[in-house]
Amino acid sequence: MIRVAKAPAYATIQDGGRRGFLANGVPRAGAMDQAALLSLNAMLGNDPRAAAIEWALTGGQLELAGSVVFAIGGADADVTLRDHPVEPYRAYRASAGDVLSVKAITRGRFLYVAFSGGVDSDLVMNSRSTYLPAGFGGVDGRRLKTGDTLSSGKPKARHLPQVSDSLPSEMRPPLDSDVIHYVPRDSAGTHQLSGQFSISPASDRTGFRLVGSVGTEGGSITSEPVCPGTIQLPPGGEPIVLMADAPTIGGYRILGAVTTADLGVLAQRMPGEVIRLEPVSVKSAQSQAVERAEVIERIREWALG
Amino acid sequence: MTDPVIAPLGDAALTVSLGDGIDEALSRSVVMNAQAISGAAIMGVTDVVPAYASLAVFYDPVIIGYDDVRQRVLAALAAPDAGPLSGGEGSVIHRIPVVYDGEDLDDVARRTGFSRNEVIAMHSAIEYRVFVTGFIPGFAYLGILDERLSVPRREVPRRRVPPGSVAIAERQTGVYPAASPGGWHLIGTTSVTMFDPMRDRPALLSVGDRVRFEPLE
Repeated sequence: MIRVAKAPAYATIQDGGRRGFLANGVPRAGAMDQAALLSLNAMLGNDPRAAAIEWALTGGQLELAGSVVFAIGGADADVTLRDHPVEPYRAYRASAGDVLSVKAITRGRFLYVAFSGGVDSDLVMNSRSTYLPAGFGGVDGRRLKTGDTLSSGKPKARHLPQVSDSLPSEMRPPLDSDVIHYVPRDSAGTHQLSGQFSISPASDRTGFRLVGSVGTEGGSITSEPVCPGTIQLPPGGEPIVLMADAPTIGGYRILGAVTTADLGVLAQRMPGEVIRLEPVSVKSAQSQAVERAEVIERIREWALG
Repeated sequence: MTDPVIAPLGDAALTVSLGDGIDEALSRSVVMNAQAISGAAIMGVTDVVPAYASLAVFYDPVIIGYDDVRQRVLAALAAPDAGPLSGGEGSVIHRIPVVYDGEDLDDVARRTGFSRNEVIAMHSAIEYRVFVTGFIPGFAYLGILDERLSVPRREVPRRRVPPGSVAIAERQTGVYPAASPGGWHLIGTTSVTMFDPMRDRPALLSVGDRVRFEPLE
Protein backbone atom coordinates (compact mmCIF):
# COMPACT_ATOMS: atom_id res chain seq x y z
CA MET A 1 0.00 0.00 0.00
CA ILE A 2 1.19 3.50 -0.86
CA ARG A 3 -0.42 6.46 0.88
CA VAL A 4 -0.06 9.98 -0.50
CA ALA A 5 0.91 11.74 2.73
CA LYS A 6 1.48 15.09 1.05
CA ALA A 7 0.53 15.45 -2.60
CA PRO A 8 2.72 17.60 -4.87
CA ALA A 9 1.15 20.24 -7.15
CA TYR A 10 1.18 17.64 -9.92
CA ALA A 11 1.23 13.86 -9.73
CA THR A 12 -0.70 11.38 -11.87
CA ILE A 13 -0.59 7.68 -12.68
CA GLN A 14 0.88 7.05 -16.14
CA ASP A 15 1.94 4.02 -18.16
CA GLY A 16 2.89 3.35 -21.78
CA GLY A 17 -0.36 4.96 -22.91
CA ARG A 18 -3.39 3.80 -24.88
CA ARG A 19 -3.08 1.88 -28.13
CA GLY A 20 -5.96 0.94 -30.39
CA PHE A 21 -8.32 3.81 -29.55
CA LEU A 22 -6.85 6.64 -31.65
CA ALA A 23 -9.55 6.19 -34.30
CA ASN A 24 -12.12 6.95 -31.57
CA GLY A 25 -10.38 10.21 -30.79
CA VAL A 26 -8.82 8.88 -27.59
CA PRO A 27 -5.28 10.25 -27.14
CA ARG A 28 -2.39 7.97 -26.32
CA ALA A 29 -1.56 9.82 -23.04
CA GLY A 30 1.00 7.93 -20.91
CA ALA A 31 4.31 9.00 -19.39
CA MET A 32 5.85 12.17 -20.86
CA ASP A 33 9.31 10.58 -20.57
CA GLN A 34 8.67 7.05 -21.83
CA ALA A 35 12.39 6.23 -21.81
CA ALA A 36 12.58 6.89 -18.05
CA LEU A 37 9.48 4.80 -17.30
CA LEU A 38 10.61 1.92 -19.55
CA SER A 39 14.04 1.92 -17.87
CA LEU A 40 12.52 1.82 -14.38
CA ASN A 41 10.09 -0.96 -15.34
CA ALA A 42 12.97 -2.97 -16.80
CA MET A 43 15.07 -2.46 -13.63
CA LEU A 44 12.20 -3.58 -11.41
CA GLY A 45 11.38 -6.62 -13.55
CA ASN A 46 7.98 -5.12 -14.38
CA ASP A 47 5.86 -5.55 -17.44
CA PRO A 48 6.92 -2.77 -19.88
CA ARG A 49 3.37 -1.42 -19.66
CA ALA A 50 3.32 -1.20 -15.85
CA ALA A 51 2.17 2.15 -14.44
CA ALA A 52 4.12 4.52 -12.19
CA ILE A 53 3.60 7.88 -10.53
CA GLU A 54 4.54 10.83 -12.76
CA TRP A 55 5.56 13.68 -10.47
CA ALA A 56 6.26 17.36 -11.24
CA LEU A 57 6.48 20.94 -9.97
CA THR A 58 6.81 20.62 -6.18
CA GLY A 59 7.85 18.27 -3.39
CA GLY A 60 5.62 15.93 -1.44
CA GLN A 61 5.59 12.70 0.54
CA LEU A 62 4.50 9.11 0.13
CA GLU A 63 4.03 6.78 3.10
CA LEU A 64 4.82 3.20 2.25
CA ALA A 65 2.84 0.60 4.17
CA GLY A 66 4.16 -2.93 3.87
CA SER A 67 7.32 -4.12 2.18
CA VAL A 68 7.60 -2.59 -1.25
CA VAL A 69 10.43 -2.26 -3.80
CA PHE A 70 10.66 1.00 -5.70
CA ALA A 71 13.00 3.10 -7.85
CA ILE A 72 12.96 6.69 -9.05
CA GLY A 73 14.09 8.14 -12.38
CA GLY A 74 13.50 10.78 -15.03
CA ALA A 75 14.12 14.27 -13.66
CA ASP A 76 16.84 14.73 -11.02
CA ALA A 77 15.33 15.26 -7.61
CA ASP A 78 16.26 15.62 -3.98
CA VAL A 79 14.54 12.54 -2.50
CA THR A 80 14.93 10.75 0.83
CA LEU A 81 13.74 7.49 2.37
CA ARG A 82 13.78 7.50 6.20
CA ASP A 83 15.86 10.69 5.82
CA HIS A 84 18.57 8.93 3.77
CA PRO A 85 19.18 10.16 0.22
CA VAL A 86 17.62 8.09 -2.57
CA GLU A 87 19.71 7.72 -5.73
CA PRO A 88 18.04 7.64 -9.14
CA TYR A 89 17.79 4.33 -11.03
CA ARG A 90 18.51 2.23 -7.96
CA ALA A 91 16.05 -0.24 -6.42
CA TYR A 92 15.20 0.22 -2.72
CA ARG A 93 13.15 -1.95 -0.42
CA ALA A 94 11.00 0.09 1.97
CA SER A 95 9.41 -1.27 5.12
CA ALA A 96 6.06 -0.49 6.65
CA GLY A 97 5.74 3.13 7.72
CA ASP A 98 8.72 4.39 5.72
CA VAL A 99 8.30 7.88 4.33
CA LEU A 100 9.53 8.63 0.81
CA SER A 101 10.02 12.36 0.69
CA VAL A 102 10.55 14.37 -2.50
CA LYS A 103 12.07 17.70 -1.38
CA ALA A 104 12.37 19.26 -4.83
CA ILE A 105 12.95 18.50 -8.48
CA THR A 106 16.41 19.89 -9.20
CA ARG A 107 16.87 19.34 -12.94
CA GLY A 108 14.32 18.34 -15.56
CA ARG A 109 10.56 18.33 -15.32
CA PHE A 110 9.03 14.87 -14.72
CA LEU A 111 10.12 12.51 -11.95
CA TYR A 112 8.90 8.90 -11.99
CA VAL A 113 8.34 6.86 -8.85
CA ALA A 114 7.98 3.25 -9.96
CA PHE A 115 7.14 0.20 -7.84
CA SER A 116 7.88 -3.46 -8.32
CA GLY A 117 4.64 -4.89 -9.71
CA GLY A 118 3.56 -1.46 -10.98
CA VAL A 119 0.99 0.93 -9.53
CA ASP A 120 -2.42 -0.68 -9.71
CA SER A 121 -5.56 1.15 -10.84
CA ASP A 122 -8.54 0.30 -13.00
CA LEU A 123 -7.83 -0.15 -16.68
CA VAL A 124 -9.74 2.37 -18.79
CA MET A 125 -9.57 1.48 -22.48
CA ASN A 126 -6.67 -0.86 -21.74
CA SER A 127 -4.45 1.59 -19.91
CA ARG A 128 -3.96 3.06 -16.43
CA SER A 129 -2.79 6.43 -17.82
CA THR A 130 -4.54 9.49 -16.44
CA TYR A 131 -5.96 11.74 -19.13
CA LEU A 132 -6.75 14.94 -17.24
CA PRO A 133 -8.55 16.93 -19.99
CA ALA A 134 -11.38 14.36 -20.15
CA GLY A 135 -10.96 13.12 -16.57
CA PHE A 136 -10.43 9.38 -16.96
CA GLY A 137 -7.75 6.81 -16.12
CA GLY A 138 -5.51 6.60 -13.04
CA VAL A 139 -7.32 7.69 -9.87
CA ASP A 140 -10.72 9.02 -11.01
CA GLY A 141 -9.06 10.77 -13.95
CA ARG A 142 -7.44 13.38 -11.69
CA ARG A 143 -4.18 14.39 -10.04
CA LEU A 144 -3.25 12.50 -6.88
CA LYS A 145 -4.30 14.27 -3.72
CA THR A 146 -3.25 14.00 -0.11
CA GLY A 147 -4.87 10.97 1.52
CA ASP A 148 -5.13 8.87 -1.66
CA THR A 149 -4.04 5.27 -1.25
CA LEU A 150 -2.59 3.25 -4.10
CA SER A 151 -1.67 -0.38 -4.27
CA SER A 152 1.14 -1.93 -6.20
CA GLY A 153 0.58 -5.06 -8.24
CA LYS A 154 1.95 -8.40 -7.04
CA PRO A 155 5.55 -8.75 -8.20
CA LYS A 156 6.55 -12.23 -9.30
CA ALA A 157 9.27 -13.45 -6.91
CA ARG A 158 11.64 -14.47 -9.69
CA HIS A 159 11.34 -11.00 -11.18
CA LEU A 160 12.38 -9.14 -8.04
CA PRO A 161 15.48 -7.11 -8.70
CA GLN A 162 18.56 -8.97 -7.56
CA VAL A 163 20.97 -6.06 -7.42
CA SER A 164 21.21 -3.08 -5.15
CA ASP A 165 23.64 -1.13 -7.33
CA SER A 166 22.67 1.95 -9.31
CA LEU A 167 22.00 1.42 -12.99
CA PRO A 168 25.26 2.20 -14.84
CA SER A 169 25.03 5.68 -16.34
CA GLU A 170 25.55 4.46 -19.93
CA MET A 171 22.27 2.53 -19.66
CA ARG A 172 20.27 5.47 -18.28
CA PRO A 173 18.11 7.55 -20.62
CA PRO A 174 19.71 10.91 -21.45
CA LEU A 175 18.32 13.85 -19.50
CA ASP A 176 20.11 16.94 -20.63
CA SER A 177 20.76 16.79 -24.37
CA ASP A 178 19.67 20.05 -25.97
CA VAL A 179 19.59 18.63 -29.52
CA ILE A 180 16.14 17.34 -30.47
CA HIS A 181 15.90 15.34 -33.70
CA TYR A 182 12.79 15.25 -35.82
CA VAL A 183 11.68 13.53 -39.01
CA PRO A 184 10.58 16.25 -41.47
CA ARG A 185 7.28 15.77 -43.28
CA ASP A 186 8.79 17.19 -46.42
CA SER A 187 12.04 15.36 -47.16
CA ALA A 188 12.88 17.89 -49.90
CA GLY A 189 13.60 20.35 -47.12
CA THR A 190 11.54 23.32 -48.25
CA HIS A 191 9.51 23.50 -45.06
CA GLN A 192 12.09 22.44 -42.54
CA LEU A 193 12.73 23.97 -39.16
CA SER A 194 16.25 24.23 -37.94
CA GLY A 195 17.94 26.20 -35.27
CA GLN A 196 17.42 27.29 -31.72
CA PHE A 197 14.13 27.60 -29.91
CA SER A 198 13.28 28.23 -26.31
CA ILE A 199 10.52 26.38 -24.49
CA SER A 200 7.56 28.70 -23.88
CA PRO A 201 5.92 28.82 -20.44
CA ALA A 202 2.72 27.86 -22.34
CA SER A 203 3.78 24.22 -22.35
CA ASP A 204 2.04 21.26 -20.79
CA ARG A 205 1.28 17.57 -21.32
CA THR A 206 -0.67 18.41 -24.49
CA GLY A 207 2.00 20.43 -26.23
CA PHE A 208 5.17 22.48 -25.87
CA ARG A 209 5.18 25.84 -27.61
CA LEU A 210 8.53 26.91 -29.00
CA VAL A 211 9.76 30.47 -29.27
CA GLY A 212 12.26 31.30 -31.99
CA SER A 213 12.57 32.39 -35.56
CA VAL A 214 10.81 30.15 -38.06
CA GLY A 215 11.94 30.25 -41.66
CA THR A 216 8.65 29.02 -43.06
CA GLU A 217 4.97 29.99 -43.12
CA GLY A 218 2.39 28.53 -40.77
CA GLY A 219 -1.17 27.88 -41.74
CA SER A 220 -4.40 25.94 -41.48
CA ILE A 221 -4.89 22.63 -43.27
CA THR A 222 -7.74 20.16 -43.72
CA SER A 223 -7.42 18.37 -40.36
CA GLU A 224 -5.06 15.39 -40.45
CA PRO A 225 -4.04 12.74 -37.93
CA VAL A 226 -1.37 13.92 -35.47
CA CYS A 227 0.44 12.23 -32.56
CA PRO A 228 2.88 12.89 -29.71
CA GLY A 229 5.94 14.50 -31.29
CA THR A 230 4.11 16.14 -34.21
CA ILE A 231 5.42 19.66 -34.90
CA GLN A 232 2.61 21.99 -35.91
CA LEU A 233 2.94 25.52 -37.23
CA PRO A 234 -0.25 27.59 -36.74
CA PRO A 235 -0.82 30.79 -38.73
CA GLY A 236 0.42 32.72 -35.69
CA GLY A 237 3.88 31.36 -36.38
CA GLU A 238 4.86 29.79 -33.03
CA PRO A 239 5.66 26.10 -33.52
CA ILE A 240 3.94 23.61 -31.21
CA VAL A 241 5.36 20.17 -30.47
CA LEU A 242 2.48 17.92 -29.44
CA MET A 243 3.27 15.85 -26.35
CA ALA A 244 1.81 12.77 -24.59
CA ASP A 245 -1.77 14.10 -24.41
CA ALA A 246 -1.68 15.10 -28.09
CA PRO A 247 -5.04 15.21 -29.81
CA THR A 248 -5.52 12.55 -32.51
CA ILE A 249 -6.38 15.07 -35.26
CA GLY A 250 -5.11 18.59 -35.91
CA GLY A 251 -5.68 21.41 -38.36
CA TYR A 252 -2.37 23.27 -38.34
CA ARG A 253 0.43 22.81 -40.87
CA ILE A 254 2.57 19.78 -40.00
CA LEU A 255 6.34 20.19 -40.33
CA GLY A 256 7.35 16.76 -39.03
CA ALA A 257 7.57 14.86 -35.80
CA VAL A 258 10.17 14.57 -33.04
CA THR A 259 11.76 11.12 -32.88
CA THR A 260 10.61 8.52 -30.35
CA ALA A 261 14.14 8.57 -28.88
CA ASP A 262 14.17 12.35 -28.32
CA LEU A 263 10.59 13.03 -27.22
CA GLY A 264 11.33 12.13 -23.60
CA VAL A 265 14.40 14.38 -23.66
CA LEU A 266 12.22 17.27 -24.87
CA ALA A 267 9.60 16.48 -22.19
CA GLN A 268 12.25 17.09 -19.52
CA ARG A 269 13.06 20.63 -20.73
CA MET A 270 11.83 23.51 -18.56
CA PRO A 271 10.27 26.76 -19.82
CA GLY A 272 13.03 29.13 -20.92
CA GLU A 273 15.50 26.36 -21.74
CA VAL A 274 16.93 26.42 -25.24
CA ILE A 275 16.85 23.45 -27.63
CA ARG A 276 18.17 22.93 -31.14
CA LEU A 277 15.93 21.18 -33.67
CA GLU A 278 17.75 19.01 -36.20
CA PRO A 279 16.17 17.05 -39.07
CA VAL A 280 16.99 13.36 -39.35
CA SER A 281 15.91 10.61 -41.78
CA VAL A 282 13.14 8.21 -40.80
CA LYS A 283 15.63 5.31 -41.19
CA SER A 284 18.12 6.79 -38.78
CA ALA A 285 15.36 7.71 -36.30
CA GLN A 286 14.14 4.13 -36.40
CA SER A 287 17.58 2.62 -35.88
CA GLN A 288 17.88 4.86 -32.82
CA ALA A 289 14.52 3.57 -31.55
CA VAL A 290 15.74 -0.01 -32.04
CA GLU A 291 18.99 0.78 -30.18
CA ARG A 292 16.98 2.20 -27.26
CA ALA A 293 14.84 -0.95 -27.16
CA GLU A 294 18.05 -3.00 -26.99
CA VAL A 295 19.30 -0.91 -24.06
CA ILE A 296 16.00 -1.57 -22.24
CA GLU A 297 16.59 -5.31 -22.75
CA ARG A 298 20.13 -4.96 -21.38
CA ILE A 299 18.71 -3.19 -18.29
CA ARG A 300 16.33 -6.11 -17.78
CA GLU A 301 19.24 -8.58 -17.93
CA TRP A 302 21.39 -6.38 -15.68
CA ALA A 303 18.63 -6.29 -13.06
CA LEU A 304 18.39 -10.07 -13.04
CA GLY A 305 22.08 -10.11 -12.08
CA MET B 1 -9.23 11.52 -56.42
CA THR B 2 -5.46 11.64 -56.74
CA ASP B 3 -2.95 8.81 -56.29
CA PRO B 4 -2.19 8.19 -52.63
CA VAL B 5 0.81 10.13 -51.29
CA ILE B 6 2.61 8.49 -48.36
CA ALA B 7 4.88 10.42 -45.99
CA PRO B 8 6.34 9.65 -42.57
CA LEU B 9 4.66 11.13 -39.48
CA GLY B 10 7.71 10.79 -37.26
CA ASP B 11 9.35 7.38 -36.85
CA ALA B 12 6.28 5.47 -35.62
CA ALA B 13 3.51 6.49 -38.03
CA LEU B 14 2.91 7.37 -41.65
CA THR B 15 0.28 9.51 -43.34
CA VAL B 16 -1.56 8.48 -46.50
CA SER B 17 -3.08 11.48 -48.34
CA LEU B 18 -5.85 10.70 -50.82
CA GLY B 19 -6.69 14.25 -51.81
CA ASP B 20 -7.52 17.51 -50.06
CA GLY B 21 -10.52 19.30 -48.70
CA ILE B 22 -13.82 18.28 -47.18
CA ASP B 23 -15.86 16.20 -49.54
CA GLU B 24 -18.28 13.38 -48.80
CA ALA B 25 -17.04 11.01 -51.54
CA LEU B 26 -13.40 11.58 -50.51
CA SER B 27 -14.29 11.00 -46.86
CA ARG B 28 -16.02 7.70 -47.71
CA SER B 29 -12.96 6.64 -49.67
CA VAL B 30 -10.68 7.44 -46.71
CA VAL B 31 -12.84 5.37 -44.35
CA MET B 32 -12.91 2.47 -46.85
CA ASN B 33 -9.14 2.53 -47.27
CA ALA B 34 -8.61 2.75 -43.50
CA GLN B 35 -10.73 -0.38 -43.15
CA ALA B 36 -8.72 -2.13 -45.89
CA ILE B 37 -5.46 -1.33 -44.05
CA SER B 38 -6.89 -2.48 -40.71
CA GLY B 39 -8.13 -5.63 -42.42
CA ALA B 40 -4.63 -6.35 -43.76
CA ALA B 41 -3.52 -6.90 -40.12
CA ILE B 42 0.04 -5.70 -40.75
CA MET B 43 2.35 -6.90 -37.99
CA GLY B 44 3.38 -4.08 -35.65
CA VAL B 45 0.50 -1.79 -36.67
CA THR B 46 -1.51 -0.61 -33.63
CA ASP B 47 -3.90 2.06 -34.98
CA VAL B 48 -5.32 3.22 -38.29
CA VAL B 49 -6.82 6.71 -37.99
CA PRO B 50 -9.03 8.18 -40.73
CA ALA B 51 -9.31 11.95 -41.20
CA TYR B 52 -11.10 13.91 -43.96
CA ALA B 53 -8.73 13.39 -46.87
CA SER B 54 -5.94 11.42 -45.24
CA LEU B 55 -5.34 8.64 -42.78
CA ALA B 56 -2.47 7.67 -40.51
CA VAL B 57 -1.07 4.24 -39.78
CA PHE B 58 0.65 3.89 -36.39
CA TYR B 59 3.23 1.15 -35.89
CA ASP B 60 6.02 0.01 -33.60
CA PRO B 61 9.36 0.82 -35.31
CA VAL B 62 11.06 -1.87 -33.23
CA ILE B 63 8.85 -4.49 -34.93
CA ILE B 64 8.61 -3.12 -38.48
CA GLY B 65 10.44 -0.40 -40.44
CA TYR B 66 9.03 2.45 -42.50
CA ASP B 67 9.73 0.91 -45.94
CA ASP B 68 8.00 -2.36 -45.00
CA VAL B 69 4.92 -0.64 -43.57
CA ARG B 70 4.76 1.61 -46.61
CA GLN B 71 4.84 -1.35 -48.99
CA ARG B 72 2.17 -3.27 -47.09
CA VAL B 73 -0.05 -0.19 -46.89
CA LEU B 74 0.27 0.33 -50.66
CA ALA B 75 -0.67 -3.31 -51.22
CA ALA B 76 -3.75 -2.95 -48.97
CA LEU B 77 -4.79 0.24 -50.81
CA ALA B 78 -4.58 -1.60 -54.12
CA ALA B 79 -6.68 -4.52 -52.88
CA PRO B 80 -10.02 -4.41 -54.73
CA ASP B 81 -11.95 -6.16 -51.95
CA ALA B 82 -11.97 -3.23 -49.53
CA GLY B 83 -14.84 -3.91 -47.13
CA PRO B 84 -18.02 -1.83 -47.01
CA LEU B 85 -18.49 0.95 -44.47
CA SER B 86 -19.41 -0.45 -41.10
CA GLY B 87 -22.68 0.73 -39.59
CA GLY B 88 -25.54 2.17 -41.57
CA GLU B 89 -24.20 5.40 -43.04
CA GLY B 90 -26.65 8.16 -42.18
CA SER B 91 -29.02 5.86 -40.27
CA VAL B 92 -28.48 7.61 -36.91
CA ILE B 93 -29.70 11.18 -36.42
CA HIS B 94 -28.70 13.05 -33.25
CA ARG B 95 -30.58 16.16 -32.14
CA ILE B 96 -28.39 18.41 -30.02
CA PRO B 97 -30.01 21.34 -28.18
CA VAL B 98 -27.83 24.47 -28.17
CA VAL B 99 -27.92 27.76 -26.29
CA TYR B 100 -26.34 30.17 -28.77
CA ASP B 101 -24.40 32.23 -26.23
CA GLY B 102 -20.81 31.65 -27.44
CA GLU B 103 -18.04 34.11 -26.68
CA ASP B 104 -17.27 34.53 -30.39
CA LEU B 105 -20.86 34.77 -31.71
CA ASP B 106 -20.76 38.55 -32.08
CA ASP B 107 -17.34 38.39 -33.69
CA VAL B 108 -18.53 35.75 -36.19
CA ALA B 109 -21.61 37.89 -36.96
CA ARG B 110 -19.38 40.93 -37.51
CA ARG B 111 -16.88 39.07 -39.70
CA THR B 112 -19.54 37.44 -41.89
CA GLY B 113 -21.78 40.51 -42.08
CA PHE B 114 -24.87 38.81 -40.63
CA SER B 115 -26.91 39.39 -37.48
CA ARG B 116 -26.65 37.03 -34.49
CA ASN B 117 -30.06 35.56 -35.36
CA GLU B 118 -29.06 34.99 -38.97
CA VAL B 119 -25.88 33.17 -37.88
CA ILE B 120 -27.96 30.99 -35.53
CA ALA B 121 -30.53 30.26 -38.25
CA MET B 122 -27.84 29.30 -40.79
CA HIS B 123 -25.95 27.11 -38.31
CA SER B 124 -29.07 25.22 -37.21
CA ALA B 125 -30.59 24.82 -40.70
CA ILE B 126 -28.26 22.08 -41.93
CA GLU B 127 -28.28 18.34 -41.20
CA TYR B 128 -24.56 17.69 -40.77
CA ARG B 129 -22.58 14.49 -41.43
CA VAL B 130 -19.85 13.21 -39.08
CA PHE B 131 -16.77 13.23 -41.32
CA VAL B 132 -14.19 12.21 -38.73
CA THR B 133 -13.87 11.87 -35.00
CA GLY B 134 -10.76 12.83 -33.14
CA PHE B 135 -8.83 15.80 -31.84
CA ILE B 136 -9.96 14.80 -28.32
CA PRO B 137 -12.19 11.93 -27.17
CA GLY B 138 -15.73 12.40 -28.44
CA PHE B 139 -14.98 15.35 -30.72
CA ALA B 140 -16.68 14.91 -34.10
CA TYR B 141 -15.89 17.02 -37.14
CA LEU B 142 -19.24 17.89 -38.74
CA GLY B 143 -19.77 19.20 -42.23
CA ILE B 144 -20.48 20.88 -44.32
CA LEU B 145 -21.05 24.30 -42.76
CA ASP B 146 -22.83 27.01 -44.78
CA GLU B 147 -20.18 28.73 -46.88
CA ARG B 148 -21.43 32.13 -45.70
CA LEU B 149 -20.37 31.27 -42.13
CA SER B 150 -16.88 30.16 -43.09
CA VAL B 151 -14.21 31.95 -41.03
CA PRO B 152 -10.59 30.79 -40.61
CA ARG B 153 -9.41 29.36 -37.28
CA ARG B 154 -8.24 31.81 -34.64
CA GLU B 155 -4.66 32.90 -35.28
CA VAL B 156 -3.71 32.00 -31.71
CA PRO B 157 -5.67 29.06 -30.30
CA ARG B 158 -7.28 29.37 -26.86
CA ARG B 159 -5.47 27.38 -24.20
CA ARG B 160 -8.79 26.31 -22.67
CA VAL B 161 -12.17 25.99 -24.34
CA PRO B 162 -14.98 25.05 -21.89
CA PRO B 163 -16.71 21.66 -22.32
CA GLY B 164 -19.98 21.69 -24.28
CA SER B 165 -18.86 24.60 -26.47
CA VAL B 166 -20.39 24.51 -29.95
CA ALA B 167 -17.87 25.95 -32.38
CA ILE B 168 -17.16 26.61 -36.05
CA ALA B 169 -14.07 27.00 -38.25
CA GLU B 170 -13.96 27.16 -42.04
CA ARG B 171 -16.59 24.73 -43.39
CA GLN B 172 -16.73 22.68 -40.16
CA THR B 173 -18.65 22.68 -36.91
CA GLY B 174 -18.45 20.57 -33.75
CA VAL B 175 -18.88 20.32 -29.99
CA TYR B 176 -15.96 20.33 -27.51
CA PRO B 177 -16.73 17.31 -25.29
CA ALA B 178 -14.21 18.34 -22.61
CA ALA B 179 -12.07 21.33 -21.70
CA SER B 180 -9.19 21.49 -24.16
CA PRO B 181 -7.07 23.90 -26.14
CA GLY B 182 -8.85 24.95 -29.31
CA GLY B 183 -8.68 27.28 -32.28
CA TRP B 184 -12.35 27.29 -33.33
CA HIS B 185 -14.86 30.12 -32.82
CA LEU B 186 -17.30 29.51 -29.96
CA ILE B 187 -20.91 30.25 -30.89
CA GLY B 188 -22.95 28.27 -28.34
CA THR B 189 -23.17 25.70 -25.55
CA THR B 190 -24.87 22.32 -25.14
CA SER B 191 -25.42 20.19 -22.04
CA VAL B 192 -25.35 16.90 -23.99
CA THR B 193 -22.59 14.50 -22.80
CA MET B 194 -20.56 13.92 -25.95
CA PHE B 195 -18.11 11.44 -24.38
CA ASP B 196 -18.26 9.15 -21.35
CA PRO B 197 -15.39 6.65 -20.98
CA MET B 198 -17.63 4.38 -18.89
CA ARG B 199 -20.38 4.09 -21.52
CA ASP B 200 -20.40 1.03 -23.77
CA ARG B 201 -19.89 3.39 -26.67
CA PRO B 202 -17.82 6.18 -25.09
CA ALA B 203 -18.26 8.63 -27.99
CA LEU B 204 -21.82 9.78 -28.83
CA LEU B 205 -21.02 10.43 -32.50
CA SER B 206 -19.54 8.02 -35.05
CA VAL B 207 -18.38 8.61 -38.61
CA GLY B 208 -21.39 8.65 -40.95
CA ASP B 209 -23.92 9.73 -38.29
CA ARG B 210 -26.13 12.78 -38.94
CA VAL B 211 -26.47 15.71 -36.52
CA ARG B 212 -28.96 18.58 -36.14
CA PHE B 213 -28.47 21.50 -33.77
CA GLU B 214 -31.67 22.82 -32.20
CA PRO B 215 -31.60 26.40 -30.83
CA LEU B 216 -32.81 26.85 -27.23
CA GLU B 217 -34.07 30.20 -26.00
